[in-house]
Amino acid sequence: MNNPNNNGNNKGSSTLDSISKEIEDRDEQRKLQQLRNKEIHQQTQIDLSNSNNITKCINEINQLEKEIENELQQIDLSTSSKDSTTTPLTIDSIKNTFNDIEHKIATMSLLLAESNHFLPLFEIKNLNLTISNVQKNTNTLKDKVIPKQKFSFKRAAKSSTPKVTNNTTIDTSIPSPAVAPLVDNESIFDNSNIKGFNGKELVYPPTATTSTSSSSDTINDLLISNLVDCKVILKMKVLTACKINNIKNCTIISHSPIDGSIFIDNCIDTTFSFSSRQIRIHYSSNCRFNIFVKSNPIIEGCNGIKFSSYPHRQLQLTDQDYSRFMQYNFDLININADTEKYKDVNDFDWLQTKPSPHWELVKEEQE
Amino acid sequence: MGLLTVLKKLKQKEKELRILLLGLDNAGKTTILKKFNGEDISTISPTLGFNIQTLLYKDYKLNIWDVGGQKTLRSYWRNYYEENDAVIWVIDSSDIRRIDDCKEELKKLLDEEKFAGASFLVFANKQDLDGALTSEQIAKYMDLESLSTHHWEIKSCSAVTGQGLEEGIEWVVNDIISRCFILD
Ligand SMILES: Nc1nc2c(ncn2[C@@H]2O[C@H](COP(=O)(O)OP(=O)(O)OP(=O)(O)O)[C@@H](O)[C@H]2O)c(=O)[nH]1
Ligand SMILES: [Mg+2]
Repeated sequence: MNNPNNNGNNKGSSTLDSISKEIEDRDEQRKLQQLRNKEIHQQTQIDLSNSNNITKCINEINQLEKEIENELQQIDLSTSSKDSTTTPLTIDSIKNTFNDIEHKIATMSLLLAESNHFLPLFEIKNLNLTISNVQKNTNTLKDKVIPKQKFSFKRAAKSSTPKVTNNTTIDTSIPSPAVAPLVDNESIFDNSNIKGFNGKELVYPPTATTSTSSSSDTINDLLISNLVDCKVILKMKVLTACKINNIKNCTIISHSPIDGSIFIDNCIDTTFSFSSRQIRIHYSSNCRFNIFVKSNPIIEGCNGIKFSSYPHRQLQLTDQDYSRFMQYNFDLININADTEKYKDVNDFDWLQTKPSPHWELVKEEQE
Repeated sequence: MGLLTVLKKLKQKEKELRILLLGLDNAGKTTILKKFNGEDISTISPTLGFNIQTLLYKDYKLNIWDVGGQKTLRSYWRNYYEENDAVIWVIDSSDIRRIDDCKEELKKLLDEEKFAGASFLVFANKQDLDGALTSEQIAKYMDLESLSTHHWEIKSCSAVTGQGLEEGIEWVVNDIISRCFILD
């Protein structure tokens, strides 16, 4: 790309020749590079298949885990200790350490993914557990020490949205569970957020807005986070995007189609019933997904995930509900190309053909 | 080689452009491509490796490499860094929780020497969502203003409505051809 275009138009053919040569060279280079990339890829695979690497891989992952646990401990000490002999770390250096830790966790997952095909099954399980544990510990500590409001762009404010704030639900005398959510005990229940509840049953959208159907129609971006022991029922017309994180021991059920993706992160012991275009599940364990989905669900950094079909009959959808689903091309009743999609789960930590140990199909729950 | 032949050859070659499409998972990369191409966008699966899509835009053939953005895939991104005419970075503008993650990955990418000379477009995607940040907010937060190593531009768009996609692609193509040797 170093040939400037400031040559006049009337240059002789020698310039043209050299330009066209340059282009050919460039193409040649690209081809070579592609070949080289392929070779490199093959090489790393061959290297990893060497059996010596079993111990090497395990050691490396364990080593990374040790480093991370050390770093976490240091942060924890420096932020929780009241004794003045330890110098407190600055927020920047804490953030840096977390970045470093997250990088290490990603490396661990990658190492494991690359080694799946030669590691014994029980090692894979162990290592997976190791990784999801450090991930959990990291998230917990991070939520504890880094102020929640990292930066404050306001959501494009819907001025008419009443905010049903509920600060009384959280009984602070109960010791918080091992999950992060309750550290930040602000509860929000409005059109775009369900956040920070413990032991509640919540029906969405907030009743204050369901009466004005126009506003509940325009809901298109919902964030569900920091819930423990809750039941959440979604009953909007349709939702375009949904993000869910930091959930423990909850049930989340949607009676309406989600015409976009559901992005799930850091959830445990929770049951979800959904229908959507995409379902993306990250760093979660022991969850159940009863779903109708129009593409392959994916999991990453997960363990103990169960998949089953969307229980539309148990939910006792009305004819009106069904036609709303149909309106967004979710055909729940007739057998069609989407009916069995929920079974084709892609596990990003499992790139081989035998079944992933991180998830399984289960029968639909009977009443 | 006669002048005419050279000219013709030159034109043919130059009309093929290679573009790399990156961004966090769920940003909407694959949806942008399919939408631009008029294909169905309701059954797209998260990208497991990468896919190559050829778009025809005006007289140009754009070979677009769409690489999956899951965490486990990001370390493979570098396999696609060579010889790109442009890089398009896609952002889910409503994903405030992961914006630091996004900023960091973007920074790593910009530090990459292999992109020297490539045009650089940021798509602030999902503008149809209520929670979406504007492209100005994103440019500011991502520090794009201070970026002097690349020709860059940020465009807001929505892959679902299609709004803004063509403007973005047009900028990319114009920027590439204005830098490369073009004979009229
Ligand atoms: N509302 C809305 N949703 C969008 C938009 N663009 C993409 N989506 C949705 O976002 C989800 C993710 O889109 P993809 O195109 O699969 O994302 P990707 O960047 O290719 O993700 P990876 O392949 O995992 O890297 C899909 O459910 C899309 O329907 C948009 O502009 N607006
Ligand atoms: Mg994709």
